[in-house]
Amino acid sequence: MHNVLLLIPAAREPQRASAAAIELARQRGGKLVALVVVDPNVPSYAASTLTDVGFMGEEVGEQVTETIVREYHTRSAALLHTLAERAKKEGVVVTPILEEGDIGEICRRVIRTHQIGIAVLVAEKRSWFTRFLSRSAAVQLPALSGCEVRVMEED
Amino acid sequence: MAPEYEVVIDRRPLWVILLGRGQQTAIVIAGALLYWVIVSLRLPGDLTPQGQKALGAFALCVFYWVLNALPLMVTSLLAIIMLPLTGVMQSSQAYALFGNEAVFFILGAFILAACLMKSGLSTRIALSILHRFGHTPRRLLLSIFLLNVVMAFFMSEHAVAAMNFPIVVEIVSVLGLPRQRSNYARALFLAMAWGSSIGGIATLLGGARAPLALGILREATGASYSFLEWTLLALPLVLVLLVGGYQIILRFFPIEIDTVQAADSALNERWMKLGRASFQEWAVGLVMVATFVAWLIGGEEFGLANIAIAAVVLLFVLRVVTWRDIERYVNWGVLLMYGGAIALGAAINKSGAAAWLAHMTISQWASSGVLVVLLTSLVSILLTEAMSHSAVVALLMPVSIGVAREFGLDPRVMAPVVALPAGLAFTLPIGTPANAIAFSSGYLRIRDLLVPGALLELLAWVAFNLLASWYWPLLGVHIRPH
Repeated sequence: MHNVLLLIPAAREPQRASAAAIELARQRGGKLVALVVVDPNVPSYAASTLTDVGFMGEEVGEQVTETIVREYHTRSAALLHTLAERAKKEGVVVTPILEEGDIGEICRRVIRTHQIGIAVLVAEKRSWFTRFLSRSAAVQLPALSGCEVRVMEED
Repeated sequence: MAPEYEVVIDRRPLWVILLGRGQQTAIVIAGALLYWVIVSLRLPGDLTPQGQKALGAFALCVFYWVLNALPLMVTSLLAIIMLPLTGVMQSSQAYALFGNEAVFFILGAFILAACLMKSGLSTRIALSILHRFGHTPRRLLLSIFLLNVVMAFFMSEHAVAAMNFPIVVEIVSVLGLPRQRSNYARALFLAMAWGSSIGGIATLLGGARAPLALGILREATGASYSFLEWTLLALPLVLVLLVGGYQIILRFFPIEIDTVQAADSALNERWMKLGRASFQEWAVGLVMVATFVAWLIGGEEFGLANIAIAAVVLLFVLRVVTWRDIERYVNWGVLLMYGGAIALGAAINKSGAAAWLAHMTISQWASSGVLVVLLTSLVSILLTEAMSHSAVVALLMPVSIGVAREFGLDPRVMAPVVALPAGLAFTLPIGTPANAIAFSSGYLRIRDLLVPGALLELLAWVAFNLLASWYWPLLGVHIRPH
């Protein structure tokens, strides 16, 4: 259980947490599993606004959702690639994983299959207004068991 | 082996959690209670029992529209059944209002926009402009802004934003602009969202707000505006916002890149891949131009809805689209939403409830026609940031007609006073689908919309009122008793 999981919020580039996760993996002599989960609820919000408020047909909403998901995937893949390059210089092996779906479920599966000892989560920096509009960060934190969890503030 | 426990700590206050869980039911019950209170109270003034019931139905529907207790169109259906069931209107009258000319004009405009999108003509126009003019960062930004503004003259602003979104995402992507840190990326997404909103107020095609306002106006007074009159009223405001919006974007998000060569190449490649225009594109383009000209010069004589529906039929005769295509692009809830809103507007106007409500609200605070216009436009522009544009028109238009009568104003003036500001939501992602789409790209933060958007909103309100005072009278629309 020397492996380290770094859970990166989609569309974010957490430099400090990445460095800390690489360092942890190096110290423990394990590999780093870098996981980006694209939450399908995010793009579907834009699509549902188009349908419910803009009275556009489902085709229009689907096109927008597809574009957002594709963009998230492209950006996340690039981020994972950069991270892997950075870790390689430190002598750490990285397993990049990019998935779409329920963040908690995917995390638990990755922890189990990759025998994760420590999970590094990135707490997204949110303005008071975003906090006011959306749910508490605690609810969005996936329920993880069987490993130590470290939460790092986004830089 | 010890069992694995999953623990989620929800640190929100208990009342927030409870409210969140039963929120929708609570709103539905609160709306019903609101209706019951209004119809049970002894209201001051000379409101008839029929007017009181119409007022109750109006309050209930507005409450649901604002708080999204039910889908917008379902609330409209509720309005339609409440009117006959409470004796405000006969069933035949209420259901007949779904067949209002404005509703069919909106439907025709949506189908034409669907044909533009389905044929690929709208994408061809967008790519042709961007690949021709967007060779430098500043020119590309301006091209995207102008493109969205002008396209929203001809089709729904929401469709314009949705259609151009993939193009903007591709530009930002090939330029490798970092999320939430690139000024240029933020500027491009704002130009897309604001451009479509600004262009959307210019004609009766940019959104369903203006046709809805005219539908309610016509049901209440018999008066209306021609397509050309409306465009002439709105165009100077569009020009002011075009210049103001572009300057605000440049001031808040100074361009940090020197070249857009990668985007230029990508756009050029996409443009080349399109090949020659197809028969469908030509046919849709020609029918669209002919329809637009017909609306401008023959709208009053032949009727806007008749021209729109004739154009739709012609496109089917030419076999340019299939019904299946249209069904994928148009949300039929639009008919229910606008039919219900017009019926509700007609009910509260004809029952005297609108006049009573006007007397009790805006008339208490305003002392002149000018002040009425200032207040109504302010309320409209503020409400539209938090609720659907159409719901704002459905809420304010019937009351405004009553207010206009109270102050001796021509009720006709209230249609642009309500509908134009109701289309100007620049500040919040929830204000309009265009903002929501731009925000969901991940390149914008809330504050990127909030502060510059508020500034543009202020500019819009000031410019709107100055134009209403000094420019509209030249077109025979007076905000003072005349």
